[in-house]
Parts: sequence; C-alpha cells; structure tokens
Amino acid sequence: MMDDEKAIEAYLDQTLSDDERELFENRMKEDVELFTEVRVQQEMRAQYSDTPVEHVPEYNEAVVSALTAHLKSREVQELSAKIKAGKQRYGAQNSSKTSWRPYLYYAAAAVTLLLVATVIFFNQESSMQELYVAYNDVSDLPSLTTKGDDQGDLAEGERLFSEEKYAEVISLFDQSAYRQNPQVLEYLGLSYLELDRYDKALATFDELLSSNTLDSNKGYWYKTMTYLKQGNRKKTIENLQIIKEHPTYYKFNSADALLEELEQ
Amino acid sequence: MFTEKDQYHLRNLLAGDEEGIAEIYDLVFPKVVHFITNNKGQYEDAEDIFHKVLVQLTTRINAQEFQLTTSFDGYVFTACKNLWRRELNRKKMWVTNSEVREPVEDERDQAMAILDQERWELYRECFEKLSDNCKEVLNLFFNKLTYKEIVAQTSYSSETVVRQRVFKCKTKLSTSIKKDKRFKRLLEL
Repeated sequence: MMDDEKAIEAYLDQTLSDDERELFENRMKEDVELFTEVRVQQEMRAQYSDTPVEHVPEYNEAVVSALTAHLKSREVQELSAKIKAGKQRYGAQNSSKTSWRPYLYYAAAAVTLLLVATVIFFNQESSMQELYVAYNDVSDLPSLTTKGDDQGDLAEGERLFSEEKYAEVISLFDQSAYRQNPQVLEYLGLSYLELDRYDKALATFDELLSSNTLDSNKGYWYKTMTYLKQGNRKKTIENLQIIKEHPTYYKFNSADALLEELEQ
Repeated sequence: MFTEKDQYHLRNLLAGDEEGIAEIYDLVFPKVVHFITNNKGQYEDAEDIFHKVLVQLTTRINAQEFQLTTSFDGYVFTACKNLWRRELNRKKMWVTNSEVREPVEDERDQAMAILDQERWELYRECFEKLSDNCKEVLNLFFNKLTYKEIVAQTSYSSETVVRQRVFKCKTKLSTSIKKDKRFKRLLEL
C-alpha cells in the first residue's frame, strides 16, 4: 500500500521517468481501484491547496447532459426571468431607500462641517502667519564680513540677502565649504525659508544646531519661525518650549511671549 | 443550521416571488459585491455571479434532489465565492494556455459549475469529518510543504512519522470520499 502511495505521489508530482510513467499508466488501465485512487488524490490536491492547480474533472456525461437539458428548459428560463425581475425590484427599492433625501442631509452636514473646518483652519493659519510676520526679524543677523573687507563671496552673499535675492544666496552658499560657517548657515536657512522651501530650511537649521558653536542654539528659533510660517502649531510650540527651558538661548524673551500668544 | 427564515427565502426563490427575491438580494448581494469587487471583479460581475448562483440553487433542488442544510445566505455567499474563483481560474487558463479551446455552450457550462459546487461540498465535508490532528498535517501537505518542513512546524519527531501520518490521514479521507454516494454519481468511472 505504502509503495502504491509513493508511486501515486511521484506520478502526480511528475517525477517518474518516461518508462516508469508508462508502466504506471498501464497498471491504472487494468486496476480500477488504483485508477480511482489517483483521480481522488489528484482532486484532493486541487481542492485542498490554497493555490489550486489547473484541473478539469471528467464528470459523468449522463449527469452533465441531464443538467444541461434542465437548464435549457422553459421552467428554468422563466424562473431566471423572475430572478432578474426580483433584482430590478431590489435595485428600485434600494435606490428609493437611499435616494436623494438622506444624501442631501449628509451633503448639507458635510458642507457645514467643511465650512467650519475651513474657517477654523484659515483663522489659525492666518493668525500664525501674522505671528510669523511679527516675530521674524532678520535685522540682527550677524554680518558675514569684518570691517573693511567687502570683497569675496561672504560679502556678496550678505548683499544679495539684503536685496532679497534669496535664490542667488542659495546658489552661492549651498556648498560644503561655506556650510562649515554657522553664520552662513543662518543666511542659507533663512533664504530657504523666504522661498518657502521648508524641508531645506529645517535641514539647514538642524545642521546649525549640530554645529556645536555659540550660535548653534539659534537653530531652535529659526526652526520655530519655519514651523510658524508653515502653520505647524504643534512643532512651533515644541521648539519654543526648548528655548523656554534655556534662558541663555537666542530670543529667549521673544520665545516666551510667542508661546503665550500661541497658547491663548 | 437551516431555520424557518431560510425555508422562507428558499420557498420564495423556488416560487419565483419577485418581492421575496428582492429580499434575498437585500440579504446577501451587498456582501457578494464587496467580495467580488475586492477580488479583481466589477459590480457587473457580481450581478452575473449572483444571478447564476440563484439559478444554480433552484436547479439543484428541482433536478438533483439537493437539500439545503446550512443557512440560506451562507450557502448563497459561499457558492458565489466558489463560482467567482472558478471564473478567475478560467480567465487565467485562457491567458496561459496557447491552445484554442472549444467554446462551451452556456447551459453546459452552468451544469459543470453546478457539479463543481457539488464536488467542492463533497470534498469539504469529508475533510471536516477528520480529526483536528489530521486536518493540520494534511493542510501542510496539500500546501506543498515537504515532509522535512512539516516536521519543523509540528510536534512530530521525524520525517518517517510524518510520512506515515500523512498516509493514514489521506487514506481515511480518500475512503470517506469514495464511500459518499455523490462521488460515484459525479465521476465517470
């Protein structure tokens, strides 16, 4: 029995050699029990696998013909038509049940909700924008040049910034040699901020924060300004709270006042 | 479990009661739409499948002495899933097989679908009769895990033990299938 079992498995797995397969198929022709067992096991593989195999069973033709004839009968055709009519009735009931009336209520509710949300959002947004304008002050940006030295890229960058030519500031300073200078990072990050390139601005201010210089903590204030302009209330407050814990940090007093206004 | 409510739906379907049929649609059709549209199908496919399954059920009862023993909606939903899988498999076969197949007459194809459903029930019911232990090991076996992999996933001590266990469970299952009267009727032997 176990030998038969192994042979059936090998036959279904198609791992028998040509000679072995021929021998096995000849045995099946003579042994109805073996033939039936192979058919059942083949079917089991199709039925119980999560990934069914292609397999077209050979049904009893008499049964197939009788069923086909029945399906063609007037009785079935009439019933089929009634099922279609029932489906149409279902469709009609369904569309009247869920017609315009409830949708209108939902739509009205949705419009109201949208209006309220928009008003709140824009009010918040505009108040944050107003705060940004009020608090963003670049007048105390350090000069990049020393007295009498008004030549070179640093002086050029400072001039471009004061002329609000921010894209030119970026193309001038966005290179590794200048990024070592924390003050250049301030000009660069603020130029990104002016052009609303928030991701670049934030990355530049993070670079400033990790620069480990006296000016590095300015990064928190600039990030605050970036989030404020972006309208990100949560992140703005997070950064302000960091400044608030360190009285020596840049714009400590402004941070305190701004935080108070935001939390009103 | 076949309840009075199931009897009510079945009676309406067999009588072609349009109002009752609309209730049947209300009961199961949305689930079928959900299943088919989440499985590569469209709303129109769901309409076609659902209609075919209702015709299929009336045919089985009127021409095959089939008796519904499970819940009405459970049967219809499962039959819809099976018929849809059959459609998908066939589409796959059309794509992957280069040989040209003879188009099958619609009613003949529906007859074959009825027999596919009957055969599915036969194999499913016999499998459910097995012990939990047999079901577990055969599930792994039929999903193409090697004997070695089955040892790793179960508490059996060796491949030999697993091989013997698979053999015993498979024999039990095969015997139960062959003994069922549906088996002889379905297959041309």
